[in-house]
Amino acid sequence: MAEQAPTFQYATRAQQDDASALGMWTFLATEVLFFGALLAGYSAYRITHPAEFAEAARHTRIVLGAANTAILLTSSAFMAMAVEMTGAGRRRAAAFCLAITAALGIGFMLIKGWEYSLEYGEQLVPGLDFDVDRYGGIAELFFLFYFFATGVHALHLTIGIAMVGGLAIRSASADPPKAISVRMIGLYWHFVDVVWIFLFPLIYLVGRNA
Amino acid sequence: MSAALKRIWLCWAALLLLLATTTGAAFLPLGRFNPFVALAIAGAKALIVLIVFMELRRSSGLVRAFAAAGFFWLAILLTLTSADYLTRRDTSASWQPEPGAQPGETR
Amino acid sequence: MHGAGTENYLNAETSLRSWLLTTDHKRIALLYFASITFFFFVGGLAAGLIRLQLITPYGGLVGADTYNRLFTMHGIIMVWFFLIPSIPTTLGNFMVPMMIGARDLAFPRLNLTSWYLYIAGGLITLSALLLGGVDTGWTFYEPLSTAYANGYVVLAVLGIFIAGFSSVLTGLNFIVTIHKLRAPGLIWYRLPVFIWSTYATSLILVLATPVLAMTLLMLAAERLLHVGIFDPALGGDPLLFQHMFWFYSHPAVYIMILPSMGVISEIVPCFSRKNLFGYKFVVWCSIAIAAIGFLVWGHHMFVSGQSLYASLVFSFLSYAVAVPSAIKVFNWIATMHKGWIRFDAPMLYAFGFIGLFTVGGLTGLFLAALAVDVHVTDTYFVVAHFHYIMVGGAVMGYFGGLHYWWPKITGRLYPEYWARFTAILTFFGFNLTFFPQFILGTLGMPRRYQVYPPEFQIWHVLSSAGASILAVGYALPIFYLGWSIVRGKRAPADPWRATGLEWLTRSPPPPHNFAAAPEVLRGPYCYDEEGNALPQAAHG
Repeated sequence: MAEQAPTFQYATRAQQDDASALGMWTFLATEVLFFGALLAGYSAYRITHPAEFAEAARHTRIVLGAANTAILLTSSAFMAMAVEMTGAGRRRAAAFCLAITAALGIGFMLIKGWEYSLEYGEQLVPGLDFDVDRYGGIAELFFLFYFFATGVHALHLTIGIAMVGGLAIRSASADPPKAISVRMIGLYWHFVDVVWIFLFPLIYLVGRNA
Repeated sequence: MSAALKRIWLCWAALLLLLATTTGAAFLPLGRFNPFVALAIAGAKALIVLIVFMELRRSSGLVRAFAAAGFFWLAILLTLTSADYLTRRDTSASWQPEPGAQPGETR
Repeated sequence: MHGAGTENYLNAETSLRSWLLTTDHKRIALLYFASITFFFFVGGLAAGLIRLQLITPYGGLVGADTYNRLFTMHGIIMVWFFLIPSIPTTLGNFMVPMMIGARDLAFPRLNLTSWYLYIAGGLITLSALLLGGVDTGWTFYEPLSTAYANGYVVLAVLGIFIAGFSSVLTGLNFIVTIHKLRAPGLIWYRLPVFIWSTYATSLILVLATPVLAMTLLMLAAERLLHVGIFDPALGGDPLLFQHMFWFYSHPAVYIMILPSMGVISEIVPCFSRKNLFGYKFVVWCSIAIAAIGFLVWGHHMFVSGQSLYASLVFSFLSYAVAVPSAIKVFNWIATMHKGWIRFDAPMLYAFGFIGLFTVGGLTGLFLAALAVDVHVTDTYFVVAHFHYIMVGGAVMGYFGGLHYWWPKITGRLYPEYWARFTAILTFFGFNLTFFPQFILGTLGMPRRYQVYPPEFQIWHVLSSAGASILAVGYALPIFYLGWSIVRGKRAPADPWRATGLEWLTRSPPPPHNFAAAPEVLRGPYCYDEEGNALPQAAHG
């Protein structure tokens, strides 16, 4: 595959690819702190109101949460495959893996949407019709964090699905994306997975041993 | 190339195994240690994704430092904020009711 | 290959489109320069009205609610739309690639995106202010900002949120550029201190701003959805907002001062004709300030109800963060010792910076002491402290850098005597404005009050008189710098006989800065015994 020339401020393509990687990791560091700020709020309340937090968390659906975690972990495996395939020049295989990755992401969103609708039915949505008398004030705080964290995560996932879907289409076309693009978007996708890896126990696994 | 694929799917199996473990462990009566176990397992999963899928195992020291930086700074935020919440003591005056008291109660 | 003609980045293309869609870091720097100057005067207008109101004890110029909106507008505009972007996006954008021998930043299109995000955020915040503004103070404390404020909180916060992305992307760009685009021979310990300071600033931009973004999002959610994240009635904690807000906003003040310190480190060696004393100390102190600056935010919350033990830890760490700043001050002074001092305008601004920053820094130590802070927190003592650092320090450094690099940026020399007069006038105006505020604070005058007991009036009158002088000092450069663009003498490549790579290019520089990457031979501040400059590289 012919190597593209670097843009004018770079001496070599390798230097430019290194810069892209550093840029993407810097961006991911900002995302760690973005989500992390939410975790700071979460931990403040979990420290000061542990029992009520546990009680509220038991209303989450562990089966759906675990299924979604498995889906995202599998999507990361396919994304990693896609990077390998692209590097080896196997464009159709890469397009296939990218398509599966995006499809699994869509599957996650569908399950999440269904989960949200169930929670809406049980009056667990703060700001809409949360039943404070039934669940308590701390539970409203827990579900606020739940919807905020999973909502912001879902937004990031949607952007990821769009980018990966775009890569899939381009990989199968006559103008395939550069290997560095697939790797960088792969980093983003894996990062969204890492965020969920931490959200899962904090949301779904609290207070289950009662 | 198949070595790379084997590595990916081996890690996938490990990740799902860890998922099953953490989900099961949540139901065990470990008292105060439940959250630590859950977060430790989550940390292990995250490390697998970071090191293998995100290729930190083959990255330069600089990239690894960048990857670690975000988590390190998050640790600062969480540690010092918790320092406040973990060490608050009741500092009410003698004429104020105790926290959680019924109206009309005094010390 | 650029010929020996007079093509430069200004006249290469002149259409509006070539400016609004530019990816040239130098043009983007000028776009930012115009924008932040505009915001500086908007924020300054608010300050002027505040000082007018405070001339008499019972006010009369504006009502209480309007006064609240004025100081809020002043804070928001000055912090987010002037100080935080100021040096990094103007002098930083222009000089960072040039000082490292590069042709542009790592991600030029991202740079342009940053500017558009800044403009979008600025316009949204401006609209909030024009619609009537916000009365919460720039700190947006709960529950006032969520439950009781009767202004356009969400709109203002949205503007700041968007501008935050601009900050993050700028910092990201600088970090990658400094790592990856240095010229051959430019090892880290040969980098100018301005580059190290920009790097330290970028670390803060990248790591602190996202926390602000999430905090503002939660604030907006609470206000819009009427849910109580920080509401005690639901079991929430108002102090949580303050923790999250100040985790960003304290490091933010280091975003504001570190670039200025970097500018001073460029000016002092050049105008002392001597190498910077203790270069390694100075650069590592920049990093230390950025790092330790993340550990002290609780000193804004000593009387808010934070745990005493946490307050003790934050107080101790706040003392620690002063040490690297002090080390830098000593190094600048040691650089001047036995140097050949030239009193050009940039050096006058540097002198002003060093004196005023030292006063501001020392008063910070008073505030770091828990026992003292209990008495002077939320008084004019604090107001004076941070203005000494942000105006006496950061803004003076900005003007110093502006004058120092003006010939390179515009290709013209500014009128030196007007500039020196302005620097001195600004110094006096500044001290007359803000020193009385230290006294007011210790006497007990609270901040954010529009009326006060009559016995404080003399100090307020002095302060307002100083503000009118300061206003002249800030207005004058518009005239003489503007004049210099059309009538100033044409500048040579290196009018100050300085040593950095940026002085190897023509003034103004060609569009891609360097035809070939310069080979760097030595450190950034090499002067011989007679004070002659030894440039970092041969002509590139």
